[in-house]
Amino acid sequence: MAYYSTAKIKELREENYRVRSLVLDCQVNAKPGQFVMVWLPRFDEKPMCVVNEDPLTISVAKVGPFTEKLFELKQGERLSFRGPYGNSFTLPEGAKKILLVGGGYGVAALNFLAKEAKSKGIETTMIVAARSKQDVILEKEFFDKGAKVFVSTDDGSAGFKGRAHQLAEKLFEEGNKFDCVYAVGPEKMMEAVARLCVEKKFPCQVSLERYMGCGVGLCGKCDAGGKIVCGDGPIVSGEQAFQLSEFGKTHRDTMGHKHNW
Amino acid sequence: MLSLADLSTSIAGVQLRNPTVLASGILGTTAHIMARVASEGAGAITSKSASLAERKGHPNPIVVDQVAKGWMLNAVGLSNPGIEEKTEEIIEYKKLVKESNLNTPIIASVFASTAKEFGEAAEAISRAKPNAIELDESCPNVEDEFGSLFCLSEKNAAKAVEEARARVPNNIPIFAKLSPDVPAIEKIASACVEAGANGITAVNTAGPGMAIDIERAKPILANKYGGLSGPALKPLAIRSVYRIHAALPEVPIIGTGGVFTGEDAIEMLMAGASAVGIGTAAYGRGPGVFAKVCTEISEWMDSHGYSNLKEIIGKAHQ
Repeated sequence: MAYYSTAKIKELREENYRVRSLVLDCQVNAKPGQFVMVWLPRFDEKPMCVVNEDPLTISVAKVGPFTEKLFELKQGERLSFRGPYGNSFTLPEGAKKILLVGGGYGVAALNFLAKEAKSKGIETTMIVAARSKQDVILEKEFFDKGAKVFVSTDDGSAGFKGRAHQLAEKLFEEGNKFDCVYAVGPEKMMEAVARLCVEKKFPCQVSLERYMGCGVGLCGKCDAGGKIVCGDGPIVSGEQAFQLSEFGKTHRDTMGHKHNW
Repeated sequence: MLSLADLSTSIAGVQLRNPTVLASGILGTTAHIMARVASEGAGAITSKSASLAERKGHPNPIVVDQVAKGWMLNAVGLSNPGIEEKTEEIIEYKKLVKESNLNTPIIASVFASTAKEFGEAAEAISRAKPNAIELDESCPNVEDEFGSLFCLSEKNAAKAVEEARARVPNNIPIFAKLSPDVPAIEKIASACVEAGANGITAVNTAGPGMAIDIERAKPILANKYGGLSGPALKPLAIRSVYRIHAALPEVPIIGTGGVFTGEDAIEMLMAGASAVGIGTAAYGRGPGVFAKVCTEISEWMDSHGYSNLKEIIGKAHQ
């Protein structure tokens, strides 16, 4: 058993001015919501969610030194990873209608779930939320998967003007019912969506993100206040999320110092 | 059938409802995650080592996971937020386990680069009133920074204990955590006990070892080298505990290294441990490992006619 899987990058896809998808020449046996630990030898290693399992695709937002290095990689170069790790989103038995809410580059993390929902004939509604028009990603991909796509931007430069949870609330008020709501994005956004779902009694699942060390539930760096994101998560229900002492409030750096979201 | 076996044990006056102890460095980062491990049935929790000043530790990768093959390497590099924040986490932990009526004892692990700082760190953490303090004199992952391990020399190991003992209230027992990578661990242990240690934790990870990814032709760990743990460590730990118990039969030992099952735990107890550290198995078998190991110990005791751990501890020496 090799320590890492290594595969060639067969395609680079620009999703917007700062998000790029890397399509690898390999597949992984993953479920929607799982992640791989992407390794840049002698530099660092970070969790990246599986945007597609065949071919393995990750979407990278340029947010720091690690992702800047990933942006330097060219088609034909190799990338190494281990995993997939973590639990996955679950589709409730007999689900007919689901709502996906993606914020910023969190939208990409829902792509794999939309694909699975389509294969099961589940009607999918997708909210692609972003700060501004230029931040919107993957609108077409979700549309191509048969989802009803709604865009919201904080500044109103595209689609609904307002926050993701406000658009979700509008959909709920219009009488739409969903068997489950899935949210991925900034934690404050997921908190707002989860709170709304708890109020409306819709089941809800969110994907937690924390600084991660080992990726396998051992070092304890990615504790979110009672659950280890890599070992117990990253997917938790809305109810479980609200039981975590740090959900929507704080996250920790590699040393364990708390920071406000 | 309900087991009649009594799994309670005691280490330097600290009563444990069962002998499983979360080993330092695994999941011991925050109050809530330590309380979670307590709720999974651990007999005691050891917090992740804290130092006077914050430490960033090594970049990733910090582990090489080959548990399926019987081993693991880690080089976290003692990342921690510093002793003050760790003290707050321990205070919070104690509050949480009081609320849940578990009151699972906590052993506060501290790390330092000089004997004097060991004393200062131990004194600082004693403000949280932990049930015991463990001096991590044996982390193999920071050698580039600090030179050879503290516990490689009887004199250095003892000096750290002496400094800590002088500054920590007498009602808090001190354990020295030692490395298996010495020719005669019992001599180091004896020196620590003479300097005031109330018990020994044996052992830390071994090596360190190394793994290279052949596709990339590069060492995996950011630190290149990392402490070896998991089942491969168990024979070294058994030998270490056996030798310490032979030399110091009255001194409580937390036997740590490669314990995954109840049978592993019983082997460790027979070697002379009064409690059994569990680290890598908390990943290998999940956080539920503590309850599982306890059930397996009980079943083994029932089927072999033992009713309490005293009949087992040190039995291989008789």
